[in-house]
Amino acid sequence: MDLFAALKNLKSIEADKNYTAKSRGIILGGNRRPLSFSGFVFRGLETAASLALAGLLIFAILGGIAAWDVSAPAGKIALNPENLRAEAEAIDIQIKLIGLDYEEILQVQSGGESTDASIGGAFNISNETTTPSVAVPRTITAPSIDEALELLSY
Amino acid sequence: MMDGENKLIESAIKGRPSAFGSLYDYYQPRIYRFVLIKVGRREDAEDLTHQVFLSAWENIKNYRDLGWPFSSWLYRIARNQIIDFYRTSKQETSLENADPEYFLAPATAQFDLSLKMDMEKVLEAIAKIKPEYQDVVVMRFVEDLPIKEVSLALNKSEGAIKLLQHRAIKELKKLLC
Repeated sequence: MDLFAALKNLKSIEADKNYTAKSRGIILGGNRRPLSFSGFVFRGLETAASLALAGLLIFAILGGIAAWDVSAPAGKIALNPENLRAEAEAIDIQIKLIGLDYEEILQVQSGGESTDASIGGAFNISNETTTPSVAVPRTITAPSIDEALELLSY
Repeated sequence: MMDGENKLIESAIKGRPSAFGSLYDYYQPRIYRFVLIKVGRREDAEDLTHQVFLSAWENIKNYRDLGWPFSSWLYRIARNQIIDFYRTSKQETSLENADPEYFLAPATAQFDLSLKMDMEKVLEAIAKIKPEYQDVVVMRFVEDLPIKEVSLALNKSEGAIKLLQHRAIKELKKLLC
């Protein structure tokens, strides 16, 4: 026997093809390759970038909500009692007494006579109560609201 | 060494399974033969060969640091797997006392009778020589590896490898006469 030829023939020995395919699939398909340090760092950077983007998106959404909130002051101010009070005080209530007839005011009798002190067209009040005497000067410029209200109360 | 092996190794180190798959396709028959001739049973050879390449894939980043030929690295893993196999094997029967048909039949089943008989005789003789002789015979005369790759795989000098192969052939001839 030729020993070297016989040894060369041993090179014909092969593994079963089904086994080879299965083994190859298990080794490569399982992806059991552990990460190298650089791979681990890169994977960590990927994770960090993803988290940063997510945070940025959340921040943008919250910032948008805040900006919308600012642009709608009525709603915001409505929740603030101090602003409400300031707003109320700032309201300038101007009551216009249209057609106030001052001459009719002058007709108020002194001494408690009743009078039909109907005041102007703006106020049409029938006063059945005794009207006290009110000393009203003959010459009246523009009566103040307080004076007009006082007259109406009699 | 296969063509473009260095590029494939670099790609495999970077984690590309397809690159390691090409290396597997080229070296798996060689490692399987080495293991089968050493352990004798196909089932054991399949398990061990699978473990060799699984270990290689999991630790391929370590290969770059070693600076060895890839084949030498694989053979070293294979040798370590075989040593561990014998250490943990429940088989108490020595290879010399095993039934040759049971021992060799799975490895030579596909060959014609005369060739099969010669191969079985050689395999039986290889099973009887020292493990380090077996290693040199298979790597040098079955797989035609250069002496340098064999010396790196076996962690011996090239001169030691030459001496070992001389002694191994002498022993085999003595057994086959």
